[in-house]
Amino acid sequence: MLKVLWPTMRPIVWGVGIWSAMLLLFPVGIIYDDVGGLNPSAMSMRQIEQFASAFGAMTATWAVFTGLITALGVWSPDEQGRHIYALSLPVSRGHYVMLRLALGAMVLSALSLVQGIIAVGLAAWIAPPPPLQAYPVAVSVRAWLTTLTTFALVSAFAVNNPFERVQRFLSRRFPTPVVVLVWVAVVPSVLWLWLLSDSAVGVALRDATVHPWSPVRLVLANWSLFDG
Amino acid sequence: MGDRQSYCVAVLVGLLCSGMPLSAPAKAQLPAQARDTSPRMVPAPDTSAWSAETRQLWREALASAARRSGLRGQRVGEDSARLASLTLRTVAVPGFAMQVSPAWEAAADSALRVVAGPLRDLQPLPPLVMAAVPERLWPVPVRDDRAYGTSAGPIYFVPSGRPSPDTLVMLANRVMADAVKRRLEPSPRGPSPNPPGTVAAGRALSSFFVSFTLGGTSGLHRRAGEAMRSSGREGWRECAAGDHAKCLRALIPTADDSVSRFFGPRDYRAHVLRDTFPLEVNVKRRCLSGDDAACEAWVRKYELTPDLELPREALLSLTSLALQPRGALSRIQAPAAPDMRPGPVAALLAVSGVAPESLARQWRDSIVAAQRNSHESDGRTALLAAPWLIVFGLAAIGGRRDAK
Repeated sequence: MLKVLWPTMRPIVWGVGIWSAMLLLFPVGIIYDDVGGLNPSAMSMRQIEQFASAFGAMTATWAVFTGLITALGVWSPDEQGRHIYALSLPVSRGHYVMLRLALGAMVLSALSLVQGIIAVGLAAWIAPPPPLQAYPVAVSVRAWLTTLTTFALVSAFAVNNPFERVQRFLSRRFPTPVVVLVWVAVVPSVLWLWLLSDSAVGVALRDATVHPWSPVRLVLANWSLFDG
Repeated sequence: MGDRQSYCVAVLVGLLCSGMPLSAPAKAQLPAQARDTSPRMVPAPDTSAWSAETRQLWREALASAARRSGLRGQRVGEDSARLASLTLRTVAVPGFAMQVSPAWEAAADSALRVVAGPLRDLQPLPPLVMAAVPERLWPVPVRDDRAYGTSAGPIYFVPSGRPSPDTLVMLANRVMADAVKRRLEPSPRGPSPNPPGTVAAGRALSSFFVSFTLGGTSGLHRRAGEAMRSSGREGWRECAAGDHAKCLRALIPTADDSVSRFFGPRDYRAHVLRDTFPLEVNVKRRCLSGDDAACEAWVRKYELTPDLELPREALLSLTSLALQPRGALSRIQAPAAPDMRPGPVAALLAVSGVAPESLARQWRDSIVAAQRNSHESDGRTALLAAPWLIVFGLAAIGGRRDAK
C-alpha cells in the first residue's frame, strides 16, 4: 500500500517534515535572540520557561496540523477517485480504509518519532537547572496521540462525508458564490454565535469542549517541555 | 437507516456521551474529594460547636445552591456558587444583615470545611423548606457605593431577575469584603487599632473565601509557582529544590530583609534590565552600572511593596486558611511577631496560627506537588485518546461512499 501510495504521499511527507523541523526548532531562535547566541547555560530562569512554553505551543500546533494535513493527503486520492467497492477497488471497502488508516498511522508515527528526538535533544541541550524537570517523552507521547486522534477524526469525516448531501442540495438550487458564502460565513457564524450564547445548548457545548473526556483536552493540556 | 447514517449516529452518540457534563444532581451525589484530588489539610466538618441556627443556615444554603436549576451547567465552579449562595443567604437573613457576627464567621468557616470534605453531613431537608429557600435566598440587599458617598450610610439596591452565577460570586465578594472591612476597621475616625496591612490581608482573605479556595487549589498553586519563578527570585529555585530556609526567606519577608536575600545578583539585575518601565531609565542605568542601592530601591518598589502580587498573597491565604480555618478573622488582628515586617504577609501569617517555618514548608510542598501533578495528570489524560481513536477509526472503516 505504501509503495502504491508513495508518489501521492511523498510531497506531503517531505513538506510536513520540513515544516515540522522549522516549527519545532523555531523556539531555538528565542534562545539566539535573548541570549545572543546558542548558549543555553547563559539562559536565565525566565528565558528557559519562555523557551519551554514556546516549544510546547509549537508542538501542540504541530500535532494538530500534522494530523490534519496527513489525513487530507491520505484521503485525497480516495476523494478524487471515488473508490467504491466492487466497481473500482480490488479489495473490500473496509479493507481499503484500514490500509489507508494504517498508512496514515505509520507516517504520523515516523514524524512523531522525529519530533520526539528533537524534544529529547533540546531537553538534553538546555539541561534545565533544578528544580525544573524536563518532560520530553510525555510531551512527545501526547503529540503522537494528538496527531493520531486528529487524523482519525478527519478520516471519519472524510470517509463518511456527512456534509456531502447538504452540499449536493445547495449546489442544485443555488449558484456557487451563494454556496461558498453559506459554508464560509453563514454556517461558522451561526455555530460560533450558538456556541457563545447562554442558551442551554451553548453552555452544554462549551462544557463538553472542556470536559475531561473531550478530545479537545488533549490540546488544552500542559505542553510545556520543562516544569518544576 | 443506512450504514452511513448509522455510523454518523454512532459518532454523534459517542461525542455526546463522552463530552456531555454531568447534571447538577448527579454532581451533587459525588463526594467533593472525588471531584478534586488536590491535597487537603482541612478536617471534616464538626457541626457540634455551631448553633442550631447556623447549622440550619448553611445546610439550607448548600442544599439550595446544589439543587437550584439556575446554577446548573454554568461555567462558574459549583463550589464557588455554593459559597456565594451561602454568603448571600447568611447576609440576607434578618439579624445577620451586614453584621460580621461569630455566626457569620462560623458559617464561612463551615463552608470552607464542607467544600474541602465530603458532603456526608448534608442531610436532605423537607420539601417545603427546600421550596422556600430560593425565595428567601433572593432578592438580596447589596451595597452599592458606586454613585453615592458613605456619609449617609451604605446604599443598597435590590437586583431584579435571576442572577447569573458570575453575578452571585461578584456580589458575594463585595458583601464579604464590606463585612470584613467593617470588622477590621470598627471606627472610621482616628487611627486603626489593627496592625498595618491588616485590611489588605483581610481583603485578600475575603476574596479568597469566595473564589480561590473553591475554584481549584492546584491551579492556584501552579500559577503562583510559575509567577514566582518567572519573577527571577533566586531563592525560589533553591526553595523548590528542598532548602526550607530559602523558602522562608523567599516567601516571608522579615524586618531585616534585604534585596540580596531575595534575589541573586544576576537574576534580579536582568529582571531590572528587562522589565523596568521606560520612564525609569535612569534607575535602570544606575542599577546596571553596579549601584546596589538603585537596584534595591527599584526591587522594593515593584516587588516587595506591602501589597504583594496576587498569586503570592492568595497562596499565603490559601495555606493559612487550610491549616486553621476557624477564627481566621480574629487572628488576622493579632500583632506581628517582633522579627516580622508588619504588613499583609505578617497578618496572613498570623491567620495560619503556625510557625513561619511550618507554613513555608507547607507552601513549598503544595507548589511542588501542584507542578508535578500537572504533568502526571496530563499523562493520564493522554490515555483518553485511545477510545476516541477506536470510535473515529470504526466510523471510518464502516463508512461508505455514494456512487453519486
